[in-house]
Amino acid sequence: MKSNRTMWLPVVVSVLLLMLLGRIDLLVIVIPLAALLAYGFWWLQSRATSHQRKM
Amino acid sequence: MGLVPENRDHGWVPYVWLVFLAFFLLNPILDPHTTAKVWLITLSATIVFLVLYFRLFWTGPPWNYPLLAGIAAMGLGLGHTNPGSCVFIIYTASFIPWMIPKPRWAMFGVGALVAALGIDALLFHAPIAFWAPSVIVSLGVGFSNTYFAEKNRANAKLRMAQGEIEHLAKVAERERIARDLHDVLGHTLSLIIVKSTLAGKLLEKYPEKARSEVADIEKVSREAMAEIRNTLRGYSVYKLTEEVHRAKSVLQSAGVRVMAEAAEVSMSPAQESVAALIMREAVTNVVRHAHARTCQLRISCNNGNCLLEIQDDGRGGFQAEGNGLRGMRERVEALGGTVERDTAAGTKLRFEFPLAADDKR
Repeated sequence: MKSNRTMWLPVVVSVLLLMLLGRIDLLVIVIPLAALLAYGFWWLQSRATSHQRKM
Repeated sequence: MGLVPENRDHGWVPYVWLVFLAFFLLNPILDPHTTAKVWLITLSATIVFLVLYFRLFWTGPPWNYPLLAGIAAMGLGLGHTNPGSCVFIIYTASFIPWMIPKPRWAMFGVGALVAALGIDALLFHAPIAFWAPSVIVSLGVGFSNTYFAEKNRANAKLRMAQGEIEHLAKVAERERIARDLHDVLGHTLSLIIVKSTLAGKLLEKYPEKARSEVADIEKVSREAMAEIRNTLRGYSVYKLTEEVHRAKSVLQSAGVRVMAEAAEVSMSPAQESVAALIMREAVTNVVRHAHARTCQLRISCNNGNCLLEIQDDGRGGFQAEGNGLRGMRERVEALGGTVERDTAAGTKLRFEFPLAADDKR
């Protein structure tokens, strides 16, 4: 529970930071881009792991 | 609790990497027009980065990916405010190869990061001071870390394999000692029991013979001590001819008539030791369990194989394989041989192993 809170804290602060900048347009692009990257890393890791298992 | 896990091989390196964070802080320091808002953003982003950075060392898949993407997002989002935020992109690129286990896929990860940077730079016209170092250094760090991560994984696998080999060697040595001790001690103790029983019976009527048996017991005990010492050191070499003499002596002491046919068979010391220990254990079993009147020992050579037969006319009957028989089987199978047990009339044990196989080993 505690570790989940620690993990979400930086995400919330990042969003606040971007809002501070007053660049909502950045927020709209950067957040989905980061989500896409996170998904991409996870997908690449699972591909690499399954490739290793097949070998 | 430390900032990075102590059970991994990171050492002090994660702290040294933080030196590059100076590039992010340097920009507002050197720029005389830095506003309070930029300072606030820079310092807050530094704190957020440190939390994400150290958290990454503790978090495994899948939650480490949002954390890493969070660092990348800070790099992408803050490029316009502070071009030094390119270090966040570089940190992300340096982490990717450690999280994605195959070099090709890790490089795709670095490529995806650079692509995201390209989109961000194109859409928002990011300054060159931000995207140029991001692209160049990220690719360089990504490539070199891919190499180091792969090397690190190979070393870890090697360490694991070495650990496994050491463990197997220990188990094999433990099994050898257990098997040798069982055969040597079992035989010697049986011999001591038989001879001391005999000495007890002879004591009143034939004291001279009893004295001779007691002297034998002393000799056997001394020999056994030396054998146990050699067994524990792994230096034991057993001679088959000596073992046949010993077998005859033991069986006769136990009142069992012996018929021995021992042909000259040329064997390696390892094969001879195995044959001798098999003979010893089989004879011990005859004395201890068979209640036999006669026992035949046969050693012969058949088509390049050594044939060892021990047959008694005792009670026979099928019984589950105990430590002794299992030990004999393991010894013979290690030489590429086979064991047959026939318990229909008395017990007949037949061991056969190739004589040439030891040269190939």
